[in-house]
Amino acid sequence: MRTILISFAVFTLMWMPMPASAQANEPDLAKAQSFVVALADEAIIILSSETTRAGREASFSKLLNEKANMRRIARFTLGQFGRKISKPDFETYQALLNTFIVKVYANRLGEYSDEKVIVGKAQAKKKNVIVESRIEFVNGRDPIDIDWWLRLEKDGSFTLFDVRVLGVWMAQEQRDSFASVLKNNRGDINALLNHLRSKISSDAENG
Amino acid sequence: MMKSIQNLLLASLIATSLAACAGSGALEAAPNSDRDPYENFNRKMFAVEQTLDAYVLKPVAKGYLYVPQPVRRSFRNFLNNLISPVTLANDLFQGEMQRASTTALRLGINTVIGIGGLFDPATRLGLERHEEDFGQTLATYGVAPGPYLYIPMLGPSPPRDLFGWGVDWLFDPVTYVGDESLTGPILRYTLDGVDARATNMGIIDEIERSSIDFYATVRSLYRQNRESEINNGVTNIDDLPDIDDLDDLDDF
Repeated sequence: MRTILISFAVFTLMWMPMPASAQANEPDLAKAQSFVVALADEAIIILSSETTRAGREASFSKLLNEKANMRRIARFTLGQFGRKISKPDFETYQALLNTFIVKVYANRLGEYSDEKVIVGKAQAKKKNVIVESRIEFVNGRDPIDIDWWLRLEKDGSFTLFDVRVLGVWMAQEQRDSFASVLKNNRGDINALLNHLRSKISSDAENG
Repeated sequence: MMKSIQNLLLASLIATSLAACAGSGALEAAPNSDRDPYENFNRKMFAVEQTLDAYVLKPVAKGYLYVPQPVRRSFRNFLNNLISPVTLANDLFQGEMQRASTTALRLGINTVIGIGGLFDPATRLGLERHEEDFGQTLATYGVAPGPYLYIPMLGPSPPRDLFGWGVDWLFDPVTYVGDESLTGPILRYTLDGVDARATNMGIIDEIERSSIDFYATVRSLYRQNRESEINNGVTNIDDLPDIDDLDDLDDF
């Protein structure tokens, strides 16, 4: 009788749904949605409260370093060239890319300070989670759909990998542009580094 | 006579596009973000576009921005309503009955209650706007875009979309307004372009300023946005590139 009861208990436990945290490598979708809510809130606060460009860029840089895995983004944006690059060149590229991204997106997102973010459904595949959201503007502009691609890290936290605005993934867009520069310069990483330096310095002059 | 020449031009355009589409069958493999066999030609055309933009389109769009915002909003609503029959036809071609009924209801409500489309009460009633074209319809049938082509004032126009553009022209009621079949669509296209350039003035200039290769950026934006339009904006996690191998590269 005891054996039957134990067998029944084991059988029942096998079919009981396990809590999300206990399932190996399964991202917790609610946690991912909360991550996006917090990230979007912080971004809106920066865009609406930082009045100077330097202040906005500094806060945006801090936010990105905290919430995004910049090393993974750097690898991705290099595409197939990421396998060939030397460590010193990669470190130089990483530093330039971080500055470049902050300057590009702190300004591109400058228009989106009067907004309300509504987080929608999330879907997961392996360590990837896509969280959908809609940006609604106070001034009556048409709403914009934004998707957030998060990645589950080894420690169980989430980091931001890419953002899709109006159907366009931003990191993929940068990868395509960088690949074009590399291809047109026969794979010379220095050409890409110089392009990035040039953009960053011209931005500083115009800013 | 003029009408015959126009029809001939249209037929040639469609024939050329069909031939290009037929020739693109071998390219139906997984899309390659770098696939641009006519890049040198396209870059020259892109330079022509940038010159035309700097000296014609952008100054006109800047002037248009002096028109009060509510008037521009109404004009945008009017243009959106005008293209609805094309969207409706393509919703039906794609077998998207729910979306077709939304488009039909929007067209009816905005034309009648919205005073000829100047206002958009349909959106307030929960009927969200979307656009479809024959290029997207062909994509849903599995037709590949073919090689990337950039045509000044038309923008990125791979053969599939160029052909689709010609078919939409035939389905567009504006084509049959007045004696000249080209006048209505060209006028609408021009006004649409000026309004779009004006509305997106800030972001277009910002993208140009911050791009390390503006041509490649526009190509990527077009391709990704087009893919999203074809999928009706639906995000599918299975379509994402596999990035697992990036984690293996963490250490040198």
